[in-house]
Amino acid sequence: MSGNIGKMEDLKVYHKTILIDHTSEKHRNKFIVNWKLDDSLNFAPKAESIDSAAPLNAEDIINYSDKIISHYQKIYGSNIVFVFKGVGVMLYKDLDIVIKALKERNCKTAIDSVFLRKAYFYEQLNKGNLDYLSLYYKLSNNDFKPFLAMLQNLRQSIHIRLNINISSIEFDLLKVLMDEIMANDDQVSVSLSHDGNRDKNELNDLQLSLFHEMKESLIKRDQRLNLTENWYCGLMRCYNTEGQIGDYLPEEYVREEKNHWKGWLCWAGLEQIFITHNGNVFRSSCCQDWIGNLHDYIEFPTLPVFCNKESCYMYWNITVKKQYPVYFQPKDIVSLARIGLFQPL
Amino acid sequence: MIDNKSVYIDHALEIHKNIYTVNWNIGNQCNYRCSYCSDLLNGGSAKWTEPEIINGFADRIIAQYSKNKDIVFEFTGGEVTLYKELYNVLKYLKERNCYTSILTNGSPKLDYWKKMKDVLDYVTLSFHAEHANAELFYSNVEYLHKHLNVHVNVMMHNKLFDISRSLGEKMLDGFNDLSLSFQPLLQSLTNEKILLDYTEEQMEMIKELDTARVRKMEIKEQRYKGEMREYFIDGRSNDISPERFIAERRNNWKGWFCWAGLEQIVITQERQVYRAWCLQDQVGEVGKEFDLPTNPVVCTKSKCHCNLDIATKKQCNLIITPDNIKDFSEVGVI
Repeated sequence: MSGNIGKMEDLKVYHKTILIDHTSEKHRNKFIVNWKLDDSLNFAPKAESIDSAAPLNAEDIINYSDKIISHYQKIYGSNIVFVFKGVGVMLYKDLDIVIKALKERNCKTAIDSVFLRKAYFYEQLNKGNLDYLSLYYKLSNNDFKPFLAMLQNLRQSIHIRLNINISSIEFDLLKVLMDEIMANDDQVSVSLSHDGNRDKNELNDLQLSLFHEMKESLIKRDQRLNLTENWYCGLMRCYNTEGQIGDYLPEEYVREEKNHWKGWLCWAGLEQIFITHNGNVFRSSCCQDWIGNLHDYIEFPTLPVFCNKESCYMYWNITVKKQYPVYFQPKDIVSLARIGLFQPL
Repeated sequence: MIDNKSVYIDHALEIHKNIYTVNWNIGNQCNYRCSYCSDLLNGGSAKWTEPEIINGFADRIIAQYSKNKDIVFEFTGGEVTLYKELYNVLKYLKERNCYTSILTNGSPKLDYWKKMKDVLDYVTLSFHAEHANAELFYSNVEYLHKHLNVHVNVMMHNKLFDISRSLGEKMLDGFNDLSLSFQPLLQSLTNEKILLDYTEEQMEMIKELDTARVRKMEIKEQRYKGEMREYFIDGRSNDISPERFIAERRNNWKGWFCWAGLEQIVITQERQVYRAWCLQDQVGEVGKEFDLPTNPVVCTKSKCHCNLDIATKKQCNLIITPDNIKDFSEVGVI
């Protein structure tokens, strides 16, 4: 990875940005299948809606995965990552069968869900074939030791990311947890966010300032330990007409409100697809472009798409290449041709 | 041959650049049953769209576009002259300063056209050799040409080629300023893939007729859009009709930006709204809330077969990489 972590003030002077691309070559060459196994509305710990509809059985998931693998393996080889998302993942009884089957097919596997199972469940994952585990963790008591010990154990074979969303009530707990995490270099990546409106318990000014300090140190720590690079997606490099601005995490684009790419070309569908619990397949979870259904026919995209959404909120949709479209006039054609800019897609 | 690579297609006439078209298939009753047509277009299953629905949707389009664009409503079918409310619908649109157009097989008699000419701006008459009366067709063209903007499509049926050819030649002799095209036919109007089985001589003859048309006709274009200007990588440009793109089999723009949706929308018998007749991108449904497109679209089709869709601005898609940013900046396009 050659880039530098971008400075926030640079992201603030974001105008004339024309290209957002993966910082890491490793991430550029990965294809992500984001598969939501339930219809819960979000992945936060407070999510209550666990799908009443029966999830697909393991055999179906594996068969449908074969369809996807046979198409994308020609392009991405063994760099296909199946990411199972949603609260229901943790309750899905055949998860280990699915993960094992995908591993046998030379794919990588990931879980992106809430922390709600006992240690035994995670120990099973550790024995298995899981590559990445992203957990949404709710701060509820200050005895983090058993939890951190479990993570330490898991990270022997699994890349781990911890996602913590807090309000002012949980701020002191966060400080305790952060002290524990920063005290040792266990290879667990931590991503922080705060929900300004939740229960009206916004962070006060002091908390907010400390919160941002913590975030900055975590980002630096991730860089130092190579945790972002080793994850299946991560930093996105931002370019303007002068060249490179810097490398930023998806959450930084959201935080700085630089997550608006309406009218841009987006490589969703070429770098990732999104599958809903009922088998509908979209380019991404913004659901702009339906491309088929697992039970029927999928028209795998071969071209980027014009984004028509006001904002891009999901981190995994932000970690997809995006480009401002180049509009030219007839008078520009000869100049563009002379420097070889008319290349086939 | 990189030198003749085409990279940009725009309207040849300035006036066409400011047109917004609503092309609406309002029903599928037809008095013809052409062998290359289908039930979908002539089966009679889709009742004519009620005038209130057309007028209501027209109000919305007018509110959004009338400030900056000239709006053309074109109705197709079926054979739209069988629609009893057509006069009233067209009259409503004319009163609201829209341009009106229909696509017809030209089968009604003169009296019909005498009434309709007052509420029409454009008529496209298509000659279908399996059913049409060539003499009536010709005389209708003569009358309408005096009063309206007329375009004539002579559909070049491979089995009745001589009938189509002689009508075409008669038109080339009889008019000096008629907008005319000689169209190769698809095996099915709803199957966008394959042309009828033409001999090489027939394809050559279609090109010759088109060349004669270009030489003879002083006013090339009486359609609200049609003739396009194609720009090549070496800086040359060339004016070309949509029909010629098809005849030369150069109607593939997969991966390009297409301004369908910005210059036009099309509406199916089921009232679904798409950017174009390739049906790549559904944008909504008449009678429901939806946003009209604000961006071009990346074409995903291997062929563009409808004249209306071909007569839409298109541009080769250029990909930015970290290595070429400076080059793009120098040219001043980003």
